[in-house]
Amino acid sequence: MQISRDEAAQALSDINDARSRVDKLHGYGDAAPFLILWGMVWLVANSTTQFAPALADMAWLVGILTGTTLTIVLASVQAKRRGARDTNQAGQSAQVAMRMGVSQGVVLAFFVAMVSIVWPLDARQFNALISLFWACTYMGVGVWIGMRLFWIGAITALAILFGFFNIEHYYSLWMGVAGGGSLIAGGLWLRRV
Amino acid sequence: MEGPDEVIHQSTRLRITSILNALSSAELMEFSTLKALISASDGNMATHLTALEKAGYIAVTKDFLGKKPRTRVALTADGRRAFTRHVAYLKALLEG
Repeated sequence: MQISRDEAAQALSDINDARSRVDKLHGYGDAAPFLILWGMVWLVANSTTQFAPALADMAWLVGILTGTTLTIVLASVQAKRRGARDTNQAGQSAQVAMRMGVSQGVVLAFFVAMVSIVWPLDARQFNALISLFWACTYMGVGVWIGMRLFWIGAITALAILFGFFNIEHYYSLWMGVAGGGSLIAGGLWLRRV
Repeated sequence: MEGPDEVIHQSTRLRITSILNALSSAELMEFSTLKALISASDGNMATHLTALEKAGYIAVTKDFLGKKPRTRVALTADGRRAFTRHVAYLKALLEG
């Protein structure tokens, strides 16, 4: 069997393409449970704010604490699985994860500083800002791991902006159903090949 | 320099082995997922998976997830070695 240099180059290109498809599949699979989890938190906490305003603070507190705890658990389970996937790159992955964590910390610090500067904000503005912050984060991460995540962030951001400027009385419900719903639907979409 | 691996070099089989090689040794891929990643028909996939299985390069596991039948595929240790050798051959051909 004879293989020309062109055929060899094409074969190596196909191999790289296959590798990047698997990486994207893993990236989507890793991101999906986080979107579904936080979509549920948005849905439940915003719906509570709409229909039982007296319980709103408690709903957000419980939602954020639960979401954060489960995020940490999921992230550590995934980090172990990533290590098993490619032990040669485990050290490199840890370094990348640390840089990503620091970058996220910088952006979060900017967000806190920005809110401090523009404070006071009403609950509606604060809800829109923090939700937009996360939707834009998904867009930014999507540029790196796959465009599906980018579009989920973009649709969520548009839903938030539409609700903020156009919906008066049912704003929290809109944020729960449209914002949280788009995250849940997006997470389910990411799980499909 | 060792020659190319004729079983692996065929286009669809090269893509199948490339995808399976990107998984960890403990990881199996569902047939439906592999088929979607390759963009091949059921018949085409079955033909190439059979060829790879006959060569001892992949292992096919059939079981049930609840009541739903499930077929999963993984690269064997021989398959991983053959794939690595084939890639080394391709690289050497380009560099040589």
